[in-house]
Amino acid sequence: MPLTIGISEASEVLTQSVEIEKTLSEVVRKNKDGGFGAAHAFDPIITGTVTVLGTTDDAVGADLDTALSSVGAGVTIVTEKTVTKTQDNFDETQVSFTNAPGAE
Amino acid sequence: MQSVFHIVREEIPGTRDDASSRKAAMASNDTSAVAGAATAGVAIRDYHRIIEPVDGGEPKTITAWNLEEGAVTFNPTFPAETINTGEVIRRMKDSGWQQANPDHPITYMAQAIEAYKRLVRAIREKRPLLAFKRGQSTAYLVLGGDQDKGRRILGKARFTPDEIETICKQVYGTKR
Repeated sequence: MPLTIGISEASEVLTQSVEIEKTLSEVVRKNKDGGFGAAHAFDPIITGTVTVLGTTDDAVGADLDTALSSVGAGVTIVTEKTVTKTQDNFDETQVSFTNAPGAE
Repeated sequence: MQSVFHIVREEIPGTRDDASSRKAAMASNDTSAVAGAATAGVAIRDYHRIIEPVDGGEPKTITAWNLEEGAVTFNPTFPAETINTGEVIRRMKDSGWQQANPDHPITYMAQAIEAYKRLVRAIREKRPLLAFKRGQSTAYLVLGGDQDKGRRILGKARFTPDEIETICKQVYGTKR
């Protein structure tokens, strides 16, 4: 199977207005005998919004990567994204996201 | 539209400069794990190395690999066999044999080594981002990168002119 490795050039980015809310969702896991399984009883979920200012054309590229890297590890789903071109050549991207840090 | 990012991220404390940050990133277990994922067919979308200041201590390095989120299937359809050392070496060096035997363990081993070499090269060649926080804003500037762009970003983050000069000296090496 061919390797697929795409590494972009580093680019300057500004993140603003990072709003994060951490919630714990209860997950009851049962074992095969009907008792509680030996697993984490709670899975933390982080929801939030961030505004990203960058100059790469692909807003779901290096700029957004950098912003989401600052949020945390695991699986992050971008649920909403609005891109606005500003007069000084910066793309302003407003992003809503949900992050499951334990999903590695 | 939903986009899914699978970020493999590690924070490494005590990385005082770019060289020590880069060395720590190369030695990270994440680099090996991501090479394994690439060998299994997971696409590596990007990589970032961010150096962040720490109050009262040496900066920390954040490494972040952005992976494709998806399913991986293995097809272990090779027969059991016994081969000698020379044959192991020959197969490890023979890309034609590996293409003809994509699910053989030797092909996986060869690809894992190739993937690791490419990831280490990416760590060595891609310039790091230096992070500067001001309130709720964080400016990520490329070490030795575009100073004009960096100055505009620092201005948008409301750093003072003196602070911008100090930061630019650190990031770009010269004052203007």
